[in-house]
Amino acid sequence: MIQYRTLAAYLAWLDLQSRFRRTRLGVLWVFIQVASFSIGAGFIWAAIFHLEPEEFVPFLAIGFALWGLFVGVFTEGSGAFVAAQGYIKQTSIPLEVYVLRTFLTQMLLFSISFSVSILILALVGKLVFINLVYSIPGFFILSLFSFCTIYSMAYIGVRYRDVQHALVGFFQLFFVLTPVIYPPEILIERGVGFAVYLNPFASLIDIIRTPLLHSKFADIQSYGASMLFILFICLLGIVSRYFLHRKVAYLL
Amino acid sequence: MSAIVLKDISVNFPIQGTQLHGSKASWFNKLTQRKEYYSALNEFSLTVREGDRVGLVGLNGAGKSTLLRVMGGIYTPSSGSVTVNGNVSSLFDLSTGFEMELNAIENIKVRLLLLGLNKDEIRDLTGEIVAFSELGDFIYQPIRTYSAGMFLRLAFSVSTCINPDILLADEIIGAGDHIFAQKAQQRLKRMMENGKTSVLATHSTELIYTYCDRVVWLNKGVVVMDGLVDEVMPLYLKAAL
Repeated sequence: MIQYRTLAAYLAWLDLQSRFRRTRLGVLWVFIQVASFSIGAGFIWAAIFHLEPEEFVPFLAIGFALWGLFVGVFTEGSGAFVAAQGYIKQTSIPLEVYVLRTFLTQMLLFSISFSVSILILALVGKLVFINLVYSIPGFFILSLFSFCTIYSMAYIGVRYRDVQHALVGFFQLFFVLTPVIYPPEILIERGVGFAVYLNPFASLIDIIRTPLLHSKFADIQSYGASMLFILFICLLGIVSRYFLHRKVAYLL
Repeated sequence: MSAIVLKDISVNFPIQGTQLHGSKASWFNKLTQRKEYYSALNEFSLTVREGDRVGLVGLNGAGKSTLLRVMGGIYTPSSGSVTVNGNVSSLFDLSTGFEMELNAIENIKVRLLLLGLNKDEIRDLTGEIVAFSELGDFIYQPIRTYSAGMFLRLAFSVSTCINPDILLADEIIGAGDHIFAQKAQQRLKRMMENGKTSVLATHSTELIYTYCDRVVWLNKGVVVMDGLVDEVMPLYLKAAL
């Protein structure tokens, strides 16, 4: 697989380009979409909920960028082999190359949308170096989560084509259930804390957002829950791979 | 030495219709013991010696393409063993494996990376491919704008740019206008005459007589006859008519 890393990187680069081909602003659109939503919705909601915009806008920007990554790794992950079917039916290179390609594409997209948060934090004077250090374990876990999810979903998605469509609806519902646009404390105070503790996406958001905004590591439960979630996804992936690895070419 | 050894391989395709109906249909199939698979090759064995120039003949659905894809490592058989000695270049269904929105240069780079080539080799070969395809300035246009002939020129030039130990080809001859078709035929001929092994599936009797020294006649996943061109072809043609 090592010898094909250039291929994976080049395909990821082309994916990013082709997504915005024939547009004038190109990749800048990712930045604009996240920035306009975070700033626009941030100010309105801050006014509605009587929150400080300097606190709430960065909070929203980070949550929104992370949510984009979650949706991306699940939905694009389940299409990883389907999108590469032309190559899979022509050559016998390892399937992991297409997993790596999708992973790199998602990481590139996330870097752009996350740069909005960095920019906003810098603008409100809350970009502190030590916070970035605190968030390193979170980013490490996040990358691991992204890779494992794409790997697992690629096999499931090629066998069960309904999955990709189902996921789109699932994530629309989960966006409301997950503390992306409201602080998790609200739910905990109102006695529905289980909705936060049982939601692995809430933990994944927590391990990035808390260090960046509050200058400390997140709760140990959040790291634990995230790792458990990754473990579950990996088990799912190992089982799917065992049954489907040899069949991928036939299913395309 | 043998270039390709297939031993007792079986290839089963999932029947797409049952998949469309999802899990309910597969439960139903399990209950009623209905077959979910179509068996394209069943306990099939074949040995291709180094330097063999094999022609695969047979009516549609005989298993020619499936067999080539097994040899190319794309389909993993559900049972049996496949041994391939040497690097393989495959010319299957030229139209797949290209990104329509990308231009020729980008597509060439992807294809050469798929072959596992390094940066220098890619640079050298890209020039050669562009020259052979005679696409001129169109190489910078997205390939969705190409005519069918231009597309075939590109696909053929890319697919045949390296000299493999084993060449697997599935009905690919007749690319482009007659001038390019001649060029393409010459290139293929040279590839095959280099003493390398080749397996060619075709319906063209002429190609078999020109390029092959051995013919394997398939029918419904089974070898009907395997021998010299002059032995097999008259009988095959008689049966096919």
